[in-house]
Amino acid sequence: MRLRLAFVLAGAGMTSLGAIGPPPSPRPAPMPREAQNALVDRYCSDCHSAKAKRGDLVLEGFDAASPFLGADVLEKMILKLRTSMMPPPSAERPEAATLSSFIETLEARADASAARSPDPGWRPFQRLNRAEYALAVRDLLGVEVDASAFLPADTLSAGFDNVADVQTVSPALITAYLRGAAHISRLAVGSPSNRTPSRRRIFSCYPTGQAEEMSCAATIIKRLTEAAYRGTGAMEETSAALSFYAKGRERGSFDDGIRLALQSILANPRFLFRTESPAVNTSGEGQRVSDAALASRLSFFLWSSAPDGPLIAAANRGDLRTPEGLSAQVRRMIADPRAEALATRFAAQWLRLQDLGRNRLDPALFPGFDKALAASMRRETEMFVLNLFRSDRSVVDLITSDQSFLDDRLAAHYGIPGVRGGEFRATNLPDARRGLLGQGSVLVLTSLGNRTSPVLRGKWVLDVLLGTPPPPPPPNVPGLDDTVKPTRNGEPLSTRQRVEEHRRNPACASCHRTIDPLGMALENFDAAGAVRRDDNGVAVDVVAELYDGRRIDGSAGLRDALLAHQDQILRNFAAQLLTYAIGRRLSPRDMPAVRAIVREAATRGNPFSAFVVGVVTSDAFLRPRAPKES
Amino acid sequence: MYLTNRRLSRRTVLRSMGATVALPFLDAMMPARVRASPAATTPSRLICIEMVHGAAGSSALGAEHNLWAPAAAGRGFDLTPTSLRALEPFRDYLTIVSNTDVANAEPFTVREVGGDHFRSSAVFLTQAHPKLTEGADVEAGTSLDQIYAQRIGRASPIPSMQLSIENVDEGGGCSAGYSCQYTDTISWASPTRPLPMIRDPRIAFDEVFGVFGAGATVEERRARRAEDRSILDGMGAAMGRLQREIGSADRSRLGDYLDNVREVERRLQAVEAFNESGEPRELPGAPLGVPDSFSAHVRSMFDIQLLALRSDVTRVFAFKLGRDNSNRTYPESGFDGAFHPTSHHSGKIEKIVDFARLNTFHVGQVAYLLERLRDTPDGDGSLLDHSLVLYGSAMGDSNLHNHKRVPFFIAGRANGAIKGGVHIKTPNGTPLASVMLGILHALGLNDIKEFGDSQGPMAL
Repeated sequence: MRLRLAFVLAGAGMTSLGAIGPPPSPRPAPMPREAQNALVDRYCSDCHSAKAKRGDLVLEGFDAASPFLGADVLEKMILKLRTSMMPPPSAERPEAATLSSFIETLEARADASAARSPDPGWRPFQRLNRAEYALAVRDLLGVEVDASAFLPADTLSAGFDNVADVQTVSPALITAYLRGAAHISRLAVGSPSNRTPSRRRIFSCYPTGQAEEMSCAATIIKRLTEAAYRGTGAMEETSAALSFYAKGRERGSFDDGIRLALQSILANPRFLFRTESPAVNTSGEGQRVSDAALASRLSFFLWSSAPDGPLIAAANRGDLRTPEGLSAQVRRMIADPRAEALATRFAAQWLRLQDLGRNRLDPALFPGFDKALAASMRRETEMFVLNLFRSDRSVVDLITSDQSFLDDRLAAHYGIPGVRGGEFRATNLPDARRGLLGQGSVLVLTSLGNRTSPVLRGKWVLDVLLGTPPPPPPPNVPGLDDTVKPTRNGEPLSTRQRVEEHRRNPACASCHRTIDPLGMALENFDAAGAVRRDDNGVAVDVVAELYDGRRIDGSAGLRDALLAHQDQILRNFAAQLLTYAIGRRLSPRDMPAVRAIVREAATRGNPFSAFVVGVVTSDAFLRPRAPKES
Repeated sequence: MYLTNRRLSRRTVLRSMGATVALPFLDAMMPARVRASPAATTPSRLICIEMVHGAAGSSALGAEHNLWAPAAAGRGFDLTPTSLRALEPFRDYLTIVSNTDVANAEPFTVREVGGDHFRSSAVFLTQAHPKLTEGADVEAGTSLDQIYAQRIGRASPIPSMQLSIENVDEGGGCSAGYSCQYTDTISWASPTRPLPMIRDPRIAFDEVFGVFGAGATVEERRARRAEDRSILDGMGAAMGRLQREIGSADRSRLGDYLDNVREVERRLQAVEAFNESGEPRELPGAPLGVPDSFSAHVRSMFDIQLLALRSDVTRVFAFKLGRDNSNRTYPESGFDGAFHPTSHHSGKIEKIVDFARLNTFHVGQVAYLLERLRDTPDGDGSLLDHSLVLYGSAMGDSNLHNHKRVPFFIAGRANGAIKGGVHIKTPNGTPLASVMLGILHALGLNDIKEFGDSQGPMAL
């Protein structure tokens, strides 16, 4: 589904790369070692003792100066402290200023250690996943194909379908490549009597006599291999494809020859795999990926597809090595229609929009909800995100924006008058609907078939927005529907009342105290995402106490509470974007780079482009390390 | 030897087929394979079916009420109260093995607690304890279907196939520190090589009949196969050239792809050899994709398995019916509760009975397969005489996430190695792995002495 929005990126508003580099960091003085040790000893080590080992973390005998204090422990501490999840709300806490100084000292230590011995990480080569395969075919040949009809499903890792190290190979995959190549080459070449767009694209020349055939075939095949192999392979691969042309021509027509050559190109590892030659060693700079590889990294990140001519040309000229050249390409690419993949693939997977189709709401309870409405909800979120990205607004607007994109059905569902027709258009929203948390997609995908689930909504906020997923529930925990009936003494109970009742069980409370209030604030939206005043006949109550002790009142209160944790939301956003961009799960060793991206973006007001620029200029993206030899 | 004479045109069938495969039509189109050797020397066909979330009858109360295993051991068992009741017509082919445990699916460390849903599927056919990792360094064991396929599979063009029913793209992927590969498949070619499963019946169909090549006539298909072989050859050569340009770690990864290219080459060659004894003149039409209905989807997959067994394209299947944590509902069962929440029945009898309704519905699907196998003549008997179908879960009482008293049964006689018509009630603490080892022996792999935490092969 194409998003037909004509947003033009204002070049002037876009971040330039010129100022990138370590910020002059006027960091506060570090907390002395003894003070750090005393703080941990007093506030943390009871639960995180060698014996109790809560959260699989031992802090007993913590020594801030210990050379054995690794990134994994440091980052665990930083995350829990930054989000105010530790010490737990019921426990004694250090003063805010002390805590903040401690966190900054921990971060400075982790960052300094990463600066001393950088580890930009490594991943094996990626292969085109289903979505990338289909888009690469579209961009190469102008034909739309359903790759799920050929290729096996992609394994998700860290929530994304492009993580390289979990991509496995099987004979079924190889036969899928063969079937895909055979089918698509026939579809694209078609027949000479039918001048399709793909034929026009393939046959840049057409021989009028036998004498012209070879040179025309060479022209066609050279262009196809250059584009399909993304600027690698050169002569050798072109002549391999030409020999397939000859084989096909021998048995049939000129078209048969071109088709067989195309079939071989679509089955060539340079098309299917994104291998990168070992990086050139530029002294003092670490190992920078080659220009061609960088072009592919950029295009698969921003477009989920192959680089186009201008990007390959820029790479060949060496433009991508200068901040200005790289910035110009990034700007061009985000403005390009292909960048909609940032919404339909990156954001959709990050926000888990695929689960929207999984929730089959009970039609008896929600007669207004159907597949078409669910599709409109998904489209709203994609357009909302894409517009924010394209117009380079602050990423914080994901939470607070008072504008979204609605068609008539969705507007009616939201109770917003004045939207007519099935076309999506920018619409101003009432306060309760602001941001992602007011969107039908998120509200439905976090509900059950017959009722809302404050638990699922709370879990979504923790996991997706804050990047702090709660642990899986222990077994033998009865579900809400088992323990608390929808009535008490003949009186109906709202979902909220039942959840509260459920939480009286102390075993559940420790986690649900954190999870549930986030979802309770959204109880004014029913399972279909429509506004409601009452639930099961009981007036909805949207006041809750957040895990950090903050009182939140409804969705506006929840947004404010989240804004108080804005830094964590931005860090999580940067981490998600980096994961998707480099196709590997992040490790604690990557967090200094994530913090650097966030710090730099903050100096500019957190525009989306600052995150993109931060990602594409990170060592993880530009200078992956050589793999450890096994 | 059996041959079907009646044939229908492909167009007639496609017109009448609608959205699902209508197997009787396909039967008519698929010329029966002429076996060069008598069926007695053809190894048993193997179908391994996994369902997730254990069973209602695995809970203490459910066991008391015989919701999975019947009360009586031996031959006089009564299936009426059990979730297996749809299998009554096949009781003489049934070997119910009850009361076994899957200790390797239990958590071994504190960090593994709570990860049962993300570990169980990897244990079912491997009986190995999966390594806790989200990375590429996954490790479990070689699965039973693969051990068998690696011994006998090469005689057929496709050594084994992996099929599944549920989608694998749930938002966020998997959790509790386990890679999705543990949840997405039950088939492991080696302890470190999980095999992806095919969910779309159309792709599964292409996998089975694609080896014959596309095209309406024998000549067209022959030409397509020649083309595929030459493209594959080119793919391998291009991989060889690429090897020279990349780093050593990627070189070894590309080597895995190259190995698989060679395996597909071998398959295409095997098809030519296979065709020497009678190439099918007309291939059946393909199913149209993934049906919404669970039973239509499962039947479509069973139809493909049957076609593949009948034409002897492959002899080994792993088939995954569910996915852990799934909230799928099965309206056709007459009960509308979602799978995972229903499996957490709190130990209350009325909830346990609800869960048993889902189990009964799931097992009921297998009756269709058994009927088709029984009705398919094969050598001196039926395909069911010459097959071994196993069905079970590595989860026991899913309410407690335990792996005790797991649901399990075998159907088929495995070329006479299994008598059938019996309920074997094992002593407490018997590993399911011992049953699996017994199965490997029944399949003729007597040299294998241990499997997972087995304590010797169980006599079946």
